[in-house]
Amino acid sequence: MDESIISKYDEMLFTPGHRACPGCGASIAVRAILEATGPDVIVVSPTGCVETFTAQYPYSPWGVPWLHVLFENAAAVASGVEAALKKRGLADKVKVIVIGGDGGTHDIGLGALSGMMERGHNVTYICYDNEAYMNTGVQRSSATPMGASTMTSPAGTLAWGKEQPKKNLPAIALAHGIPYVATASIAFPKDLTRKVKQALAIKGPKYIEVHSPCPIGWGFDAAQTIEIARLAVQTGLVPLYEVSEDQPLQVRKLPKRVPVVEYLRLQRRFRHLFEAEGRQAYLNLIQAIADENVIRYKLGEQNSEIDQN
Amino acid sequence: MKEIRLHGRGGQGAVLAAELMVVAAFEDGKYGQAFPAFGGERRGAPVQAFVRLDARPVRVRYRVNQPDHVIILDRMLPNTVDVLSGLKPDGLAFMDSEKSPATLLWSVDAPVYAVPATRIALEVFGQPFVNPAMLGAWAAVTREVSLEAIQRAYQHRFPGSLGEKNSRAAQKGYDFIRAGATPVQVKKSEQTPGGVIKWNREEVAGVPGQPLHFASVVAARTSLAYPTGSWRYSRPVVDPAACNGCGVCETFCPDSSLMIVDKQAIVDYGFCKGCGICAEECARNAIQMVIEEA
Amino acid sequence: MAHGKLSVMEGSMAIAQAIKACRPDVVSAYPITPQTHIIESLAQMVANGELDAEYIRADSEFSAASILAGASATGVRAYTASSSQGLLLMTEVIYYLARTRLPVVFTGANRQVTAPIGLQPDHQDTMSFRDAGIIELYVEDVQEAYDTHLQAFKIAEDHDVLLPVMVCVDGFVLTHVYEPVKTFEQADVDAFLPPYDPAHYMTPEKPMVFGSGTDDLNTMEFHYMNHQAVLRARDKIEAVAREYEAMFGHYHGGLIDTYATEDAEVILVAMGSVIGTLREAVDILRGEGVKVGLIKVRSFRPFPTEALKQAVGRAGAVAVFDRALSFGFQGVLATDVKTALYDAPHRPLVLGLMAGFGGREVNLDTVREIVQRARRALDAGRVPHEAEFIGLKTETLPQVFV
Repeated sequence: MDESIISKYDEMLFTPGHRACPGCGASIAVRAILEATGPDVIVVSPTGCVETFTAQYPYSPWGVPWLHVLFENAAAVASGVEAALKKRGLADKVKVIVIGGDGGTHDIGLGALSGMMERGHNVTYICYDNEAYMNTGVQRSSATPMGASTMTSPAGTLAWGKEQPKKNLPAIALAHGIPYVATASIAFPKDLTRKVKQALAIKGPKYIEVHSPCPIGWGFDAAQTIEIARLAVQTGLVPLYEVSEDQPLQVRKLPKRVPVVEYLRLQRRFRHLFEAEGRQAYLNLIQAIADENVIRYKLGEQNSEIDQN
Repeated sequence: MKEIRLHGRGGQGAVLAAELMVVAAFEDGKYGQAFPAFGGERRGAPVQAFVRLDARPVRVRYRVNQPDHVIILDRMLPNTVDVLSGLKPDGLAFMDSEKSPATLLWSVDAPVYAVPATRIALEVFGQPFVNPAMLGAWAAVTREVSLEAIQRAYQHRFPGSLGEKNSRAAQKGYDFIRAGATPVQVKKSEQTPGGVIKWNREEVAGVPGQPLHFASVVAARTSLAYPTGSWRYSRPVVDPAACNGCGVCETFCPDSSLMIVDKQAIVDYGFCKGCGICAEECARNAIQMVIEEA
Repeated sequence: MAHGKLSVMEGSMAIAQAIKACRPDVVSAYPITPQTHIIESLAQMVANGELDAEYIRADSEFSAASILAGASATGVRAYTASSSQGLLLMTEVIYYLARTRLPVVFTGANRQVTAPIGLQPDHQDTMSFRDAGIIELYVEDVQEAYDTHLQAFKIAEDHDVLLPVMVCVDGFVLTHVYEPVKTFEQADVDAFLPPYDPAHYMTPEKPMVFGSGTDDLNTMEFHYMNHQAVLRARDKIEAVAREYEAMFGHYHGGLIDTYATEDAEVILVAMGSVIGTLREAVDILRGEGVKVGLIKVRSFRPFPTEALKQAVGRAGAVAVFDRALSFGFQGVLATDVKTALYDAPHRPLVLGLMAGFGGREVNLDTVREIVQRARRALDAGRVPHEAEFIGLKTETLPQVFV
């Protein structure tokens, strides 16, 4: 090993040696998030990929305090951490964030998340959204997009994958009246880091959803992780926006939109939509979701401020 | 009873091969069991699967610790995993390699058949599905299972042309042995396979090599004692002339194992898993992925 | 010795007073009868500035317990109370707290488990944590409830122990009863219970990772260490009870308490609020010449195996009052008592009696009947059934069960 690298590891907040699959999108998200938090943070994670690949006794890449309790309670645990920091007089110094997957956020942990947001804890909840239960072997979650084939929503002669659209959790978070909600993508890590910094500067509950492709679960070459994430944004399927008390809606504009098929056909989870006759209707449905996002989030207009880094 | 241990990496099909060995043996009128090592499997991480074959039903249920045969699906593994651990004195090993296995790290003296399974797979599938050729070669040497039963097991598992290709790959592995291939007698190495980076911090618990922490708490950054470089199939090689140190590769490296030092990208091959994102995202094409050779 | 102040108050208020005196940093709360008065009282104390704690109104008991996990792992003293389904909903977290050795204190206000839904006190809820790796203490009256909560934090936070403690208080019978109870000055409680000194907690100054995964190479060792900690708590529970006695003049037993057991032929074994009734019954029966005694099991986990063996001595029959049933087997306490006495020098007959189960009343007549059963068993030299349901109304059952 190169000595110039080894000397850097002592300061790293997320060291190598973790067990993420090659090309893991979630670990790219974790690095961009910690870039924003710095060392004065406590990270809570629910059970999931990040938990599994970062904490196998006695090996861990975390250079910050990190706490895993269970699958469905990260937001509640973070509430307790925040309360304890208040009592220890550290509330202004040490930030509390959650880094959890979509299963632990959209599904089993939603009750605890809602409670945390409603109570107004000063916690930044960040979901790395890889759109299914990857840790258990690619089963459908409520964040799985329409049309995706998973182990529990398989395509077959009678089925074309998940029938329902993705749960809109940022909208649910907004409905709680919390001061900051944003979406981000690992394809735009500086934007993600900036949004986490922005969230940490605001007191109260914050929710950020980070689109994080999974080469294994989605079925694409590990080298393509960023390209896939970029395409998801460019199609309009993953709108990047932020909403805060000061700024009603800021979005990343899409000057040139990419048709959804160019994103879908690169992934094994959508392959069935291109193999059988009569599946065009489903592709049209997915395109319609992207089209609707463009209208709803004003992705096509030019007048709103955007961050293009 | 014959006990067999398969070593591979997540995604290589060690568990599938184990399953099909038992299916084939059953076709030939034998009993058997196949099972994976328990735990989460990560793509590229070292994995094991276990097989027992017998003329009567197999009753014991624990890992194969003293194998008669070891099948190694990845030629990179012996340098990091003690693949011959517990091998019986008259045991045999089979490894995917076109090269002599003599230069790799081994924990015991043993005969190792080097089978060109990757080459066969690339010929047949255009992809490195090594397990049918390995099973064909294993069957040719040990005669535990007939080639025909292995072929039928693949065809049943993968109906259509994929099954046919698997069948053909198994035949080629079988033929390779029947054409007169002999094993290489490997010698116990001075270096131990699977050695880890020494932990030299001051922690007394929750770190590798120390007593357990009473509450299973782990100290910071201990994963530095868990090198993942062996997961890699190909390595990123940086062209210093082309690299301008922009840092895109560092930002996108999922494994924190590539960083910019003095405006140059430097890869820590002890940890790099070889995903290829850095090469893909480099705007100046300063990084090339090169296939690893053991 | 601390003087304290004797006054009549509701059991829940006495518990809340005890918790306040322990200065918890974080209290989480979710309403469920019959513990609700405790968390309501604490809420009012916080609202009045009498208690300086972060009081978090959780969205479920599951979250309430999870909040404590986060707080305790961040190095502060944490408390909540629950009952019945609420406790069961906490189950996953309670196992976690035990193994990660976070010394949270719970009040378990005992209540039957659904279905059918109901409010009657029995021990089915808290005894379901028998195998979770925590400490469980059962109390007999409001004074003991007050005193035991003060002791609970001291036991839990001892560095040789570091385990969650659940103080089990029979719902309604104790939570809703008004009776005289002596409470103590804050300064005296402070002298008894020092501030929490966490052995392991999260701080950026020394990052740690909590809740990592283990495999077959070390999982058994972590379970073994938890087991050893619960066993070590045996000495600590007794020592803390004696220390409390020295400071406050109250002793309710350590792992167990005994009453008239020395020459007893029949010994009653029970936990919780029925103990007072049994003390009264023993006095009456002794007056009638019946050699009967009583063992109160105060610590259900760790189980007082040795203390029980000694206390039973040469008694011929032991009658166990059970308020929790292992369906398809027998009473939970009876099972443990039998196991503990298996290799006793003079192994007695053990009667397993479902008495007080589902809140069915146990009064002096019930006790008299049970002692008669024990004496009949002694005469016969054997126990008729492994679990007898005392007061079961067979006439109300469908024909097939009669």
